[in-house]
Amino acid sequence: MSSYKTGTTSPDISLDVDVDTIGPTATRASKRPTGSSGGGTAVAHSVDATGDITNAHLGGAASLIGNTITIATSINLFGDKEERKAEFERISATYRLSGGDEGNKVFPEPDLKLHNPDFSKATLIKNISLIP
Amino acid sequence: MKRLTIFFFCCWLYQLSFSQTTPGSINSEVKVKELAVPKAPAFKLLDISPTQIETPNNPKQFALGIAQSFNDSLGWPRNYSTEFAPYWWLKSSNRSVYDFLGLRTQTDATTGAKKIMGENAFAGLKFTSVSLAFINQDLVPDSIKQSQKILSVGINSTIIKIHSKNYSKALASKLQEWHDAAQSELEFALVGQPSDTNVVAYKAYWQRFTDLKPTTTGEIFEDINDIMNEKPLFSLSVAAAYANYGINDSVWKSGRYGAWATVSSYLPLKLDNDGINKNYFALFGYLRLIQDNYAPDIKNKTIKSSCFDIGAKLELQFDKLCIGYETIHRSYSKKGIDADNRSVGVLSYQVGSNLYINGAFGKDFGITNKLISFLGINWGFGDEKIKLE
Repeated sequence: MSSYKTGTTSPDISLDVDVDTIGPTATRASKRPTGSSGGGTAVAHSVDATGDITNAHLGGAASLIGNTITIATSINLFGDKEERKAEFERISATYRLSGGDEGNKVFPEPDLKLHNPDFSKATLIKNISLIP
Repeated sequence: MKRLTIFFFCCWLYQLSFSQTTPGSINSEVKVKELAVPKAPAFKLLDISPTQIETPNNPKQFALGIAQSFNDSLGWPRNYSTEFAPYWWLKSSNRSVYDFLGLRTQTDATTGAKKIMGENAFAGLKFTSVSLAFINQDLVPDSIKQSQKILSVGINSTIIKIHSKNYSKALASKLQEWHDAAQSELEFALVGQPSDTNVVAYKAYWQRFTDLKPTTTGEIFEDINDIMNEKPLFSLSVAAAYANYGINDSVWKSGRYGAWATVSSYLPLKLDNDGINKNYFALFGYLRLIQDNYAPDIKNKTIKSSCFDIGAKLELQFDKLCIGYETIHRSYSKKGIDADNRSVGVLSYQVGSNLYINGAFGKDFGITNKLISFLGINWGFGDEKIKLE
């Protein structure tokens, strides 16, 4: 799993997500204790159908250490099946955390890139563990 | 009984279509729809319909396709045809649904959300497509029966496309609605996700989420597709193609070139208030120029020849019924060949999802007053779908 060193005193850790696709997109990020299941607290979400998140403040290092941020993106794809399949191949997403001890750290791809059988829907998942 | 009556009616129409026309007599002449800007002008210029058209998703696939079709003995690719829009090859962080749908946006300083400012009339330019064909065919009408190496290149582009004012507003509203509904779905999924320590179970959970087809976002997405299908108030499309002939191994000559332009305007007829307009008064204008440097004349000699077609069409479109009138004026560069006209009324009715009744009547091309009277049925197979262009 990807990780990010927040340090212990950083007052504000920020998240940016850039999704590259032509389909309508929504992204939501939540935090939960690393290794746990269910629950979680929403920490950021996109505000329009680009699915991008710009400079979202996740909180101070103290409140984030020991948590994993899960960033989930949902996309619907246009066109016929061949066009949807081709667009699925083109989808990319980059994630950036900043404000911690590691400074700006870019995560260039999601952990999971999934599609349904007819390629009309795609999901991207990225997990980043926050460590001191 | 009703189905039997429809069956016999269709059989009668089918017979009628053959009894009033000579098979192929209409198709052998140019019709106004054939003047429309072709999707792949490189193929249209040579009158070829490749059974396999490569659509490379990146430059690597394009180069590989040409390399694989290369024939060592000919020193030339073996009948290779491809069509692609370079837009899809580019990696850009600016790609978004708003950009794809041709919406001009500004970022709201307070919320950070995209604010729709209207439609980008030139958004279609980015989807400009290139068609390319390498063929081996005898296109020189001389006594020597020998195939030439032929390279044909074409481009197709929609220069301007303008929809009604409601188009961008309706899309903006539906996109935001979709986004908000998708947020609710993600919130629900995130709350229920298992621990990521079990990688297989974790992936299976998100795969199940992906396979779900929620009605909320699904219905809104259908609405977005419907709005995308709204026909433009005005659009201008152009295409051009050029074919070079390898007369022998070292001599290459200009063979054919052509240019097409189509102007269309769909004026909505507000006969219903269900939001998506399906009734239009449509106007089309067509221009086509084809120059052939190796055309056969009456004595089978090779001559340079060009023809210029200008056409127009008016059409009333009522969802399933379409009534129209089209006219074409054709002129030739060769002296001694008179200009000619075709003026035809056309009728089309959609009986079922893939079944149409078509009719045409009027004056066709010809030295004398050659009349058309045609009524027939047409079966179409396959579903109509939105194209990414």
